[in-house]
Amino acid sequence: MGTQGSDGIVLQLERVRAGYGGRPVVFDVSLQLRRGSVVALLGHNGAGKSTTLRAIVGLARVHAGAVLLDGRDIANRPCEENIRDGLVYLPQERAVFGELSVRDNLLLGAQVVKDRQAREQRLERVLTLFPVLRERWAQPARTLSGGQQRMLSVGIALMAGAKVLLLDEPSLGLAPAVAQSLMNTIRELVKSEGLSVLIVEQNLRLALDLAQYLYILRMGQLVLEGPPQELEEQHQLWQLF
Amino acid sequence: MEYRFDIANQVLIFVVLSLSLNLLIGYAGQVSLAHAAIAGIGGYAAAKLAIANGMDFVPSLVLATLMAAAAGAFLSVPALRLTVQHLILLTLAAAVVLVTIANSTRDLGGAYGLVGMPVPSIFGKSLAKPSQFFWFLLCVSAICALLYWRLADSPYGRVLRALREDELAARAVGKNVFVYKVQVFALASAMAGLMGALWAYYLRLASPVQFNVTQSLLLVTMVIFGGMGSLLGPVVGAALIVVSSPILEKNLDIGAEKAALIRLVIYGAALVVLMRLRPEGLIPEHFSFRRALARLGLPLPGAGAAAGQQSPPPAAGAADPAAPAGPGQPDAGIDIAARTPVVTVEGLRKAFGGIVAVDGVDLALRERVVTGLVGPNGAGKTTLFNLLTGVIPPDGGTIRLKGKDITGMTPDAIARLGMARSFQDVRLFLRMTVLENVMLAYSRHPGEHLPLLLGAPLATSRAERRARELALECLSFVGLVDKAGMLAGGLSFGEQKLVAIARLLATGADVLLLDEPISGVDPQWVDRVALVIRALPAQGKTVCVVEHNLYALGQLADHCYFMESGRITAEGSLQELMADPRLIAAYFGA
Repeated sequence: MGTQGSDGIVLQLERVRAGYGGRPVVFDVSLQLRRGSVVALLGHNGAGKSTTLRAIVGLARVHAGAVLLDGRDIANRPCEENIRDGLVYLPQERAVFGELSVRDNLLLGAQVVKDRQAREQRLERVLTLFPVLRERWAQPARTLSGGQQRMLSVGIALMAGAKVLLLDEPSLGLAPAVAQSLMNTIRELVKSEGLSVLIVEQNLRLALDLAQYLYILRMGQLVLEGPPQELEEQHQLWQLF
Repeated sequence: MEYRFDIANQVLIFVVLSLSLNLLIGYAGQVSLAHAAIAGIGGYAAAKLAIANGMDFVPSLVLATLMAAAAGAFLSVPALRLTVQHLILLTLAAAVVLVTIANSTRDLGGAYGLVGMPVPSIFGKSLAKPSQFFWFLLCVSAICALLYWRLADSPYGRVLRALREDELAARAVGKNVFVYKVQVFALASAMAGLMGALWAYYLRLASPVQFNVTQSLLLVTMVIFGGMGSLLGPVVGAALIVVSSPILEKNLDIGAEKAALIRLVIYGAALVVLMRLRPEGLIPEHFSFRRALARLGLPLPGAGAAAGQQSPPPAAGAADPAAPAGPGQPDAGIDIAARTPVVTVEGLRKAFGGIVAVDGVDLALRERVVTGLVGPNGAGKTTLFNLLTGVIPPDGGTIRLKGKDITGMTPDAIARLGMARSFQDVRLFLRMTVLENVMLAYSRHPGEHLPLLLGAPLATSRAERRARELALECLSFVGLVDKAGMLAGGLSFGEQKLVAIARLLATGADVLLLDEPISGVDPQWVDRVALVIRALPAQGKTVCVVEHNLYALGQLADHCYFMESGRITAEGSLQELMADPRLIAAYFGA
């Protein structure tokens, strides 16, 4: 399995076939995520990247194979149990509660965090990352602009105190400055808290800068993997899709 | 024998009633709990006209139908602005009010209803027996079913389904939601009224129990049972439910009253089971007999992936999509100022409570120029698009399109005048196919207008062919022809973005506003989309693009506006803007 060692693996997929209803979308996907690392899942539109993330978190059906979180098979386990175990997912769509205030949205993200101080700390970090959320603190989320709602959904995901973060295009719709500082924050969390991140990103440059290992999906199957430098040397990355 | 004709008559009446309700619920997404009450208007009208005025059978049917249609249209007006939940409450209230009026009005016979209707007859022939009534009813039902089929399985039905899926997106491609809603309410009510009148003539009685809320709920059950939005589903649902009651009575030998109770329990249980196993109803909306047969064979391994195949991507240009923003110049040497402004905006202003989202914006979109709109999140870019396309009214300022003041006009009117937009959050019609999504954008389709749909079938089918060709052309433009038959909801986000562009192109509008067309599209297709947009000015289009991908915008835009805090603070080529350290700081935070 590539160049990664077998120690410290927090999330592992073994020949996972998954999809919606009876229809599989991804086939035989195997991947590993080590503690404190960032792994990117790349591929063209419709390749099955989002479905892979949804299958891990329990929002798409796993037909075959195993999804191991800390060595335990969690395939088809209810999403909320996964979140309680620190597996947090940021969907591609804007996932905010429109009628709730920005504050309540963020606090909902921290629902599973019992420690008040940790909650306050995370809140502060999200608000430093997205200062505009502090300005719009008491407003209903639906009054935010598209990009600001995207920031809020990322903020909600960050509030949960994840051990493993599954990010589906976090930079989508964000202005370059904001996208860059989001990536910096993720890098910081990986370093300081040992967070592990599986990221799907269409902004190749951001993904390559952040990830230590890449998996490339094509038509539902893994076609290539390796560290970014290695893949970049061997192939023209954008032609791999 | 007469017993069987009696059951057949009941089946026919309920089949047509549920077909007409399916037009409302399944197609247009307007859930009504007043359908039986509307049929009651027809029933009572026919009874009153026949008993009190001595009116003949056929004229009284016609008048009853018209009165029910008018009532339906009247009911649709408050429904125009309501969400589904509120519409259910409104129609429930209307049904209760109508039944209460019938129950408590002496002139309408109170709780007993209007009794003693004359025996209906046509061309001197009596329709007293169920077998005699049957043939007449069969003819009328066949005509109703034909009309239903023509409305539902046509460009008109396609617009109705678009209303159900996303009203704003339907308006954005130029569909007048108001007219369609009133029409569909009137048409469905007309059919219900006709059936109500026939039901009254058949029983020679119009009473509150025939048309109460329970009956409305029964009709909704028939539609859900058979399959909402499915052409044939309600026929199956209605027939099964109506036939089940005499079968129960006969085979169990338990008498009508007990059978009625047991029937309710069975319906309830069947509905629960059906919702668990087959929530789309017995015959789902996109059911195809051919596909069902094919499914009996074993699925090929990897079939899902094959279905998810993407057309071969275009030769990626020499440019590296992963490279940081290095804007390759678009057509150099366009004299922007020399081009005629197609859209002119002056002093445009919009505030939401204390937040001024758009604060005195002046800008011009010039003929055959691609204008970029850049700025931080929350700068007011999308709000500006919403103002330009009439989604929200401005607080001040004017918007002119080709010299015409369009300030305050509705989104569909603006789309028909030639300015269309795409949405940041895509807004495809998810339960419709990709092809249907794009075909819907074809403007001036005769099949979408009731008189032409019914009166000019040839022109309609010609236009339908053209719409299909155009839609396929637009889909091949974005490389998604092979997904034309898939439901839009089954596409990935990036693919949905591409379909949205195809849909926008198919509108044929001269001015296209694109809200983040490239975000979420994979790097290889970014170049393709950029090429597609770049080719638009040559086709006479004027384009405005909001986009954060400066690499792509660099390929696209001839001219850019920089927007921050609701104001335009700079304009020029993207290179010029990005040479300004202040803007760089505002945007890149450097």
